[in-house]
Amino acid sequence: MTADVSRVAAPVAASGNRGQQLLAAEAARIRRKRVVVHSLQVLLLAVVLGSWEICSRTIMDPFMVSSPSKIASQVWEWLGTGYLLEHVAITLRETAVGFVAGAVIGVALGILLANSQLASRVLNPYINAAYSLPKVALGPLFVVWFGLGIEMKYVMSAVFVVFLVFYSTWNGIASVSEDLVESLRVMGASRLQIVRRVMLPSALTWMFNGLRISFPQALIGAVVGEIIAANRGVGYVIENSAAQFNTTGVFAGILVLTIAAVIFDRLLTVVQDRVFKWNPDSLRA
Amino acid sequence: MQPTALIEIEKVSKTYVRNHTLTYAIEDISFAVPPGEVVAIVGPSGSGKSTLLNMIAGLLDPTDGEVRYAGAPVSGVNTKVGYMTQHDTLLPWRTTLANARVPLEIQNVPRKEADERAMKALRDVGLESFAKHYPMQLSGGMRKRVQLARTVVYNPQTLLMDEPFGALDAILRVNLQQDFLRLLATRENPLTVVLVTHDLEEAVTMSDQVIVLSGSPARVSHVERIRDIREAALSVGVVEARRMPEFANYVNLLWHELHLGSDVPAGESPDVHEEAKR
Repeated sequence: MTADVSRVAAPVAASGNRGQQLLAAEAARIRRKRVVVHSLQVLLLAVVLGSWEICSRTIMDPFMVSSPSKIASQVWEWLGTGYLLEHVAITLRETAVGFVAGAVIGVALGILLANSQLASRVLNPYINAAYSLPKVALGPLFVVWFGLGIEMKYVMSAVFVVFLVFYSTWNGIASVSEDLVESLRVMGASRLQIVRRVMLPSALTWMFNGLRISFPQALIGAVVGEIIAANRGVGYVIENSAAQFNTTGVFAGILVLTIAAVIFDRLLTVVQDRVFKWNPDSLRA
Repeated sequence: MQPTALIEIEKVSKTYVRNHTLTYAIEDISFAVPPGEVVAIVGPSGSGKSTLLNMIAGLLDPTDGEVRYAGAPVSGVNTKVGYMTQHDTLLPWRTTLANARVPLEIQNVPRKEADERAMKALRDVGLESFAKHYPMQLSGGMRKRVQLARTVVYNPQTLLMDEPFGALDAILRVNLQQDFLRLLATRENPLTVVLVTHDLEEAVTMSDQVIVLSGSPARVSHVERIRDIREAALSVGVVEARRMPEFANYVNLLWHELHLGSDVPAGESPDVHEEAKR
């Protein structure tokens, strides 16, 4: 934000005090607005957690809904014993492997198909069918194929990712400006040079959005795999807590997953802003 | 047909087939571009001007007739030409310098040399201090300059320009015309230029020959040789040169030819090319 103000300030500096005043006023206005939004966000969270806590002590059965204080102490306890870290590490590993594998396959398929009109037309209905298939339904099959071990979770997670990334890559390449492609063709660029210099960078925006929305999917894939059959991972923690009617444990597991997903989304946003610094939208940020 | 011509268009026709209908864009067009000359092609929009450029660039094949470059029929992309289209074709994710470098990268010129040459091309268009900017941070006129730098950076023999300054306001336009004339004059081996425009004043200011296309399908309705204007524009400036009586004569004459040659009033022929290209 400070960078933004100084950029605007430069040409006005000569106009002296009045200009500085206007800029300061604007900066103050923006700051105030942000303080209001953030305070309201915190307040909302406090109200929800507070009512939850009160309800669970009065009108609702704590056995069913647990309570924020119990969940917090559960997470704290798990953290202390190392129980939580062990399972989170497993789930993150499954998510990471599935995400990377799914992304690589998805991008490769997207590039291949976008470069062959015939292949796209032939495969289009099948890809659509595969896309609409509920991937969870494949779980039992993967258990038969890959066993109960961690490989099954890798595959599950990758399957959740691959279609999203494939679609966004394909779309990205299909929407590359024909003018840009032709301008390079006249320079004598080969097919490969055009792919590298125009198609990929141009599709990158789409691809990156695909990657961002598919990270939570990778996490879902891994957790679904764990819930189907596992003795490790956050999915197992949730499943195991539920089996013991420990709703607090279930909520604690969900909380941990949510935090992991949010952290990764923030990380990917930071990367995205760095990669797309040519984009006017990210320049403004 | 002069044997010395660099580009020869011979009895060229182009018919587009689209949605089971035929569109006759140009018919039986012949002309030649001698090396080192600037030839302007003028005509109402939709008269197939861009179609002709695309054929010289090898992006389109004629339906009938032949396009020859340096004596040989053009087949496939013609890499001897630099093509500057009316569209903004800078790569938005590359800086000015990296954009100007693209044609050299494609020829596998080593990075250091490519950067030096690209930098020189940017200096020629007055943008060396914007080398690290992204296209989004530049004005429309600056983007056109970068495009020009990118088009000349690899020393093509011929420049094809399709409404190169079309989208700019009048003042910027004159500035860019002036700079372009200077750029042409300072080249060691003179560039051959085919300039498509619907601005008659631009055509007269910049060229040695003006070819008038009109009618639907378009044919060559007139060829005018322009003398002394470009030299004057270079020595006393574009604005001054346009005050010369000869300049007005040329423009009037071409204006007259545009109207005479067309079956429909100028500017009202269907936009054949845009239709057909998409």
